[in-house]
Amino acid sequence: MKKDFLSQIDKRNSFFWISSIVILFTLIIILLSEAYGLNLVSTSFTKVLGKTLCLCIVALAMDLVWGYCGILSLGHFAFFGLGGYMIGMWLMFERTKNIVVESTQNNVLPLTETEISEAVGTQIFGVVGGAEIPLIWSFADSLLIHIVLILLVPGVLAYIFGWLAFRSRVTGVYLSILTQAMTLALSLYLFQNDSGLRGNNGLSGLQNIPNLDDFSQAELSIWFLVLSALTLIFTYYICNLIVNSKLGNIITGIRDNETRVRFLGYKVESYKLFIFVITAIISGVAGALYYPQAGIINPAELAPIASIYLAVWVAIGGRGYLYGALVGAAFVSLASSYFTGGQIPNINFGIFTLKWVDWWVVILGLSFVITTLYAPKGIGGLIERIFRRS
Amino acid sequence: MSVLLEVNGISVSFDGFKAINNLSFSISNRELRAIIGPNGAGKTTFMDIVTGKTKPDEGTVLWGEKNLSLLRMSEAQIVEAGISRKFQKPTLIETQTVFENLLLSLKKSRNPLSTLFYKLSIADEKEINIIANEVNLIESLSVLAGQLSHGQKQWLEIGMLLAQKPDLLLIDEPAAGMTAPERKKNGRTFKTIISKSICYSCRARYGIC
Repeated sequence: MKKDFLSQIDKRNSFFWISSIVILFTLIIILLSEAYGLNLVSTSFTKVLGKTLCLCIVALAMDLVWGYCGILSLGHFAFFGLGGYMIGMWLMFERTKNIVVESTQNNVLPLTETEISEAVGTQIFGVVGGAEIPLIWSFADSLLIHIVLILLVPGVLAYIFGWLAFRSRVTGVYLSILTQAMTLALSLYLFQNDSGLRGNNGLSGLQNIPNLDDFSQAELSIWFLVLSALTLIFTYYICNLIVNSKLGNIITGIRDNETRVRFLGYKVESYKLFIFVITAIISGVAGALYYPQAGIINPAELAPIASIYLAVWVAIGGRGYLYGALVGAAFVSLASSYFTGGQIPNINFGIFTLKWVDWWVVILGLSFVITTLYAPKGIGGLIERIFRRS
Repeated sequence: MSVLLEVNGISVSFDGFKAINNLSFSISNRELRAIIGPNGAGKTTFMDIVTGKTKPDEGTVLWGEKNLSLLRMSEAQIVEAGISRKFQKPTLIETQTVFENLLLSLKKSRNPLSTLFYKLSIADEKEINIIANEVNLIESLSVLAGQLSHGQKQWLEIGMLLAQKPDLLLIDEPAAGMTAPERKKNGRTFKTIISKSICYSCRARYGIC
């Protein structure tokens, strides 16, 4: 019987295939890249691909929390955005400081610490009518602390929110509404000018990595692609480990029959909290890799609609299949940037013009409805059906 | 014989309806008790109170030699203290195999991290096989629990209780949906459980066991 059980686990073990595909894909892009290869793939498209890998990472997190643990969180893009803000603060501060120091190099007297900080403050916060550096930027000159914050800020927020919500046994649609409220509140807060994060201007110029000015964007885009690919593989490994362990049995048990798991003696709340926090941290890391490639982050990125899109990707890709989440996120986000990128011409029907930018949302909605009706398990479910037949 | 569970004067009402009124009950080690009553008598509510699902309006529920109050404990803590419960309607994780259902029930650490790094040992596997044998499911270990027949589901849930090695078993209508021979086997199983000197108690709606 043990053999049966283990072979079943092996069958579900897709880590080898996924990591091979991601590595192969990355190598091909490097070969075709502007910086290190045949110059067939443009820098901006490399960035699109790198960003897509980051979206795949956050889709994995969403699949773990929703597809496996049954918590329909509409807030994981908020954690993604927070990760982006955390790395953005360091990028912006450090770069502005470098520019300030550089531009005053020929001065007779070097600038004092206070003068530097005042100049940086004016540069960054002039746009929201301030010159003071807010307290939350106290550690903005340390990359190390900000890398820790990328993990800590989404993790702690998820912990506090999850502790309150799960302890009072909020489940189902009510929990979804709560997570959405959290996202909206966070987004609205960040929109304010006195939030200390430049209000609706957000953080910009993130594509310029401080102290790496000697390297071109073409080179940096490849580095970020590789970094995103490695993080994706690592995240897939972690998620695969979780879903194939006894812990995975317990969380799918919570999804399918919470009462039974509770009366088997498992503290359901701790398990939900564990998964919620882990996935929030994964989302934060994904965001921290995404925004340096996007170049700009503003509070609109954290709006609830982003988290709903995330749920749509996972639903189309297939809940409860890790590779399904990857396929869904990659497929839908690439299609989205294709349709809304203005690359395909609008079709003129005389009385009305079909604008793809507008109609893409309709197509997405339709495909969501069709998936729900005809392939409730999404693309992942279809793949599984094909493999079972052969 | 020492008293295992002592329930004193509990009352509970739902929206004005008194489900249980001043109930007292006690059970000792290695004792088998059957609770009978018509629909709505409060049998399930009584079990809900003991297992922490419902809080009574008044009364005390004391457990074990240390006389711990169960009313202040969470469901998971009560299970850890040694009370396991079977529900009226078979309650299993239907999307998982019989093996996995039993694996989750084994008396092991219930901490998220230790379950993440849990490795199936030969001893655990043997234990699962013994339990599966006892409830006649040894042939169906790799079958999804949702695909079992109603009677088999009842047996699986009983097996899951045995795997937890509890001191007190609360079994809600174990014979519901079982055929007459199955009921007889049911009764025999409960008797063997007790003769094995593990202390158990059970209850059934029609007093079959």
